[in-house]
Amino acid sequence: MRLIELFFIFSFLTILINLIKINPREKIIINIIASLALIFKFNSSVDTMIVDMFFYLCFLYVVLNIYTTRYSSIRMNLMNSMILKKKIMTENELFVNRMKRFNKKNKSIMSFNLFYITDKLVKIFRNLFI
Amino acid sequence: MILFLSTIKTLLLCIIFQFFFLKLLEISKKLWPYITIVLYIFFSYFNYNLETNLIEYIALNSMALTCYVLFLTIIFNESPSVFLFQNIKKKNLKKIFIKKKFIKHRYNLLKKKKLITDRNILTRKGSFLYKNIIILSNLFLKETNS
Repeated sequence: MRLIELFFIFSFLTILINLIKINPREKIIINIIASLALIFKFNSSVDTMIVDMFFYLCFLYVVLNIYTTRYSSIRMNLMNSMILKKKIMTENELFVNRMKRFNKKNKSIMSFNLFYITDKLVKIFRNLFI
Repeated sequence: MILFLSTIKTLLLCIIFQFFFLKLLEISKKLWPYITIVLYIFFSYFNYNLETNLIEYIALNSMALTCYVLFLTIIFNESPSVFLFQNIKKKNLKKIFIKKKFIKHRYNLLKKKKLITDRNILTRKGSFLYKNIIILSNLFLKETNS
């Protein structure tokens, strides 16, 4: 039951941090620090600590996916345009929008560093499966 | 530690057998979500050790499977950002990007998955999905001004 409890603790912590009026990148940093502190504080053995950290990383990945789906997914953008009866984004607009992410001044979660890490893994799995 | 190692073992076996089915046997790439889920459940069932708590085992494996499926969507659906990143040094980048027709592809997927109608109206399924993403994002991680 420990992991179920941990899931609720991480969820509660994430919801609380989300209420703070700071940017999402800072929320993630606070979340990582607070969650890791909790894991270290309440774990006496290395074994359970590894399991908890793996579980937390998975949890964080899911939260980040929810965020990127809302603010970056093309499908969400299309559905949003349909609901608000706005013009659908063109391929050109998408190009301009995505290029902005590689700007060094971009401080959002979806920045150059994130794609640098993702790219390495994507290459490995693309070679394996496609 | 057995719990963690059995999860990693399940993941690795799943990757190996996915490689076998998708690359060597050339099974349709469209079937990747089903192949992934079936293989993962199959291996997690056989890797279960009686020493570990069943609920914890299910919780950890469900979380790992969710992450793995979410990650594979980048591989099989092709992310425009990752595509740009991989081709950033190419001369005709804009032309190549536009040729990929990401928007058209996603629009067709919305129709195929019956999330929108032919008259560009969200179906019940589409509306449910859209609202859920908004609720989850508002709850867990949102932009400050939204």
